[in-house]
Amino acid sequence: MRPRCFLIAVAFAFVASPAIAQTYGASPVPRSTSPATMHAQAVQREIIERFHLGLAALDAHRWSDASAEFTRILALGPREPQGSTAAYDLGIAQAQSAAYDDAARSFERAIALDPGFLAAMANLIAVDVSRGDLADARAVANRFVALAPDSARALYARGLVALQSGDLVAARGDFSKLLQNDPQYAVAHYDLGITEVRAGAFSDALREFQAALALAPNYARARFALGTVLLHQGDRPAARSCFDRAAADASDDPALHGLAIEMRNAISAP
Amino acid sequence: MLMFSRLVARLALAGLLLLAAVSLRYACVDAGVLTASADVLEPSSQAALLGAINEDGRTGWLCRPEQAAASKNAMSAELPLGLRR
Repeated sequence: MRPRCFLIAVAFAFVASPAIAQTYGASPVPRSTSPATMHAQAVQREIIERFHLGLAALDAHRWSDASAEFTRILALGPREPQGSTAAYDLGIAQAQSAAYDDAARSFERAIALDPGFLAAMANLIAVDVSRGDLADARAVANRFVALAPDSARALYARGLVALQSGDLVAARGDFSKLLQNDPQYAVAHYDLGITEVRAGAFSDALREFQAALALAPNYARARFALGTVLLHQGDRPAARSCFDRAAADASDDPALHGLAIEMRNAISAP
Repeated sequence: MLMFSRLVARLALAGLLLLAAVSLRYACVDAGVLTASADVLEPSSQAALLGAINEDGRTGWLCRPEQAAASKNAMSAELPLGLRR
């Protein structure tokens, strides 16, 4: 009788052990009464809790509260990736408060802690442009492109910074590559068109604005730009038609709407 | 006959002056319009900031901001789409 019971117990254990092994429970908490271990656990719990509070504050647009939470996290000396992440989130809160210099420092800190942090680079470029530091924006954009050569954000940001800096060759290169990767992106055609206008290549600009409008027919700014190029080429009726349509499409952009009407009227009333 | 030819010459001169005035006005309007329009041709706007990241950091597969930063596609990268300024 006893050997039979033993065999049944062994067979049950053999069948049930895989299922038991797949049962997930709470992660084992290291049990220690060492003050250092208990302090580290308390700090880690505080970091997690402050992340939750900070993210909730960002969601609610309470930038100051969010900044306070992420600043406190950084003061606690978090390990990676929480350190670079807290610096990144702090940068967002500061940028949203228009504290661009502080935001730039926070994104730089995030990148220093994690040199491959692409989102931090993207946001640092935006902040640099907002505070008028085109040289730093360009340096960061170069690093961004070096790390992620096909990144649409990297190419777009570097192209815009190059265009604003007057480097038309670099701008043309970045917008062209962006279009190679994503030919359906109308805005890249528009920016390439602006680059060609500034280079005096009006035929190329015309082609790019037309391509942008083929992809996004209601793109009012591209329609306006096309009108400008047509006017430059002496095609007054076509230019007038473009300004007319741009005014209609820009009903949600009062400045562009008014400008397009003004241009249309200027052409029709010599 | 002399009076007639003088009249024709004066009329022709007046016509030429009128034509020149009209052309000049067109040219002035076009020049003004061209200058104004070229000045307002600005590049597209900067992309909006990428969003916040939770305590798990950027390396998790659910980290949308980092994915957007690396994406090859403009829409996934959360770039402006051009329907607004």
